[in-house]
Amino acid sequence: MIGVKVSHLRGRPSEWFALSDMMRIEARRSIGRAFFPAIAVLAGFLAAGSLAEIPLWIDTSIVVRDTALVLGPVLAGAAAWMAGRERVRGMEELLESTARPAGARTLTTAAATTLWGVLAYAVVAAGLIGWTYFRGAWGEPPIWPIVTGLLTVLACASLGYALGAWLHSRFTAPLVAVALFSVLYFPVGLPETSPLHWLTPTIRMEGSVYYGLFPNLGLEHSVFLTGLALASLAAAGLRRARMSPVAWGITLAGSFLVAVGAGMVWAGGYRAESMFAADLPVIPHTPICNERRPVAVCVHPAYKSLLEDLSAHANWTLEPLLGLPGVPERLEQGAVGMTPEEAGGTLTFADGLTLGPAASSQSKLSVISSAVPVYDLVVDLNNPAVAATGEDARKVQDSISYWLYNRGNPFPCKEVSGNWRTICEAAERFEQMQPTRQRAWLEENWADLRAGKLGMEDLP
Amino acid sequence: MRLVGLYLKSRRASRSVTCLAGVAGLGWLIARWLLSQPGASAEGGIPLILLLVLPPLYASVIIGVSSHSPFGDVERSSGRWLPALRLGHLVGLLALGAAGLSLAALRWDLAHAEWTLARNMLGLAGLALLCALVTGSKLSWIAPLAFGAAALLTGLGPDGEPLRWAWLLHAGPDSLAVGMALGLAAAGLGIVGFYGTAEMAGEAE
Repeated sequence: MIGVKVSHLRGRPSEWFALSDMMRIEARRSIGRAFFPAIAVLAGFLAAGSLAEIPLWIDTSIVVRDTALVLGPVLAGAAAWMAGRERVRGMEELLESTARPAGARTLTTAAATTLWGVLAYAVVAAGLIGWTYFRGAWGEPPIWPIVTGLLTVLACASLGYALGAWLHSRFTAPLVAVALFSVLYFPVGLPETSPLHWLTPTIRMEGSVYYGLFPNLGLEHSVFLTGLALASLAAAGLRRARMSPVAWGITLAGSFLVAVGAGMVWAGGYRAESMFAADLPVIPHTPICNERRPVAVCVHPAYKSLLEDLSAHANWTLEPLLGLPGVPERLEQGAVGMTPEEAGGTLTFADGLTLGPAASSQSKLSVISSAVPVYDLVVDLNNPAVAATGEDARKVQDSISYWLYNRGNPFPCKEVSGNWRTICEAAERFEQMQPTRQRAWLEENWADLRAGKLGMEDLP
Repeated sequence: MRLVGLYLKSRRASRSVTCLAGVAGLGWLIARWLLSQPGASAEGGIPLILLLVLPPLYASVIIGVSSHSPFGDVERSSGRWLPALRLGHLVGLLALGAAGLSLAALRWDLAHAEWTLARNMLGLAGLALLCALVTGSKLSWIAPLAFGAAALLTGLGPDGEPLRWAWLLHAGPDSLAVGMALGLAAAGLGIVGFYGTAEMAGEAE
């Protein structure tokens, strides 16, 4: 039997076939195989919870990247576990005596474990990209966040393997997994002045269909993570072959990349700190419009799915105000950061979307509601005297805005307290008036209302 | 007493205690630094939520892995008073972990921080022990890590309030969160105490 196996191996034309055999065996025997379905389902569940109702490629790319927050640490724990396998089973000395070099064994074990993690990442990414594509998202996915996520998974697996190879303890795998989760997640919330804030590959990004992702440190993070993966893997190899020039060379080259990447990340981060998204060039696009009267609505093509509902909502909301001075006949969506502007009967509203974790809270309804800037109509923003108006005048403006937003729906005044209770009750009283009386009051008081010259006693 | 000593030695109890003390100390140091940062406030913010979740997560995975027995079936078939020894060992670790974290959080400028840390640690440790029944002790960290990550990543609703299932993020005295944590701890302790953990091939240490 042994003779058969030896002749079988000798018959191979190349060393690569033997390596592929080892890889196949390691992939089958890896703990990553058992982890694969669980971590793919977990990452998919978390990713699905982070997706917004409106399919946007920038959003999807960030969500794909952020699955590495879970996949990376779990895979690192699995890799740390696998790195200690030979010692745990008392096979170290036996395997030292085989013809296969220790480095090749180390590499195949680490590669096979990583392979399952990468496969899980690819499955989740494919699912999310497919979901976005079939819902007709505009444009194409930004590639850097997806690459950064993949490299994060690879770097976590390599680092976990290296730590598992060097630190023998039952506590290594769990502590490595939790520590990497902390390292990936904790710095996100630190102030931007902290170097750690920029270094984490899952950094919070803002995204706009007008400007793309900001800050986009994908290249910088990729250099850093590639260096980390190489240095860690080579460091794991050094455990068995301490004098190997190849392992030392790769460790040093990887460390150099880590240092260069960290420098690039910090430079890019501090550069981004002094910029605004609006400093970036606008991505070319052609707005799409619904010319239905009386209020026409135009949006960025990425928000095409909102157009019908938005148009209906805008017409319903603005209906009582039509024909009054300053009330637009056209609503046009502008870029993030723009304040509403009136020009020739057109009001520009910001898209109001913040991507990243906040995207999960962006329901279609809230986007539509925020897109009709009623308050900016009720308050004359071009009049500098308005800023100096008193609290009572603002309450009147708030009451009419509140009425416009909630018109036709029950007013939940019993659920609010303080100033908002007063505002809500005033809006409810206004709602109970006849439409003709509402219109008459608005025509008579519109200019004073916008200028902040009315008090609560002027409301009906 | 010799039996207790040998049992604790086989479970690497001294290392577990050292690790738990290290977690409490590190949590205290990081919290002290973080709470002194501009922008950190008692009202919330991601880093402060993390302070209430990450130290208990570390402590719970340590306790989960500590339940590993190197003797397997030999111990099961010939061991004496095993449920009492297991329960004593795990209850001791839970008490030490909870006390350490609570002490570390005494001076934090966060409402109910000490209770929240102890509660979260008990619940997550219970989850780790229950996971150990299926995966074996050495992989028991998967469940608390997965749940902790899920709570931190998706546990807040659109209004910024924690969702019902994300009890880790609830305020300290919240009765649902306390009930969940104590229930998990009791279930984990009870089942692992009486039946031990699953054993995977090659787990010997």
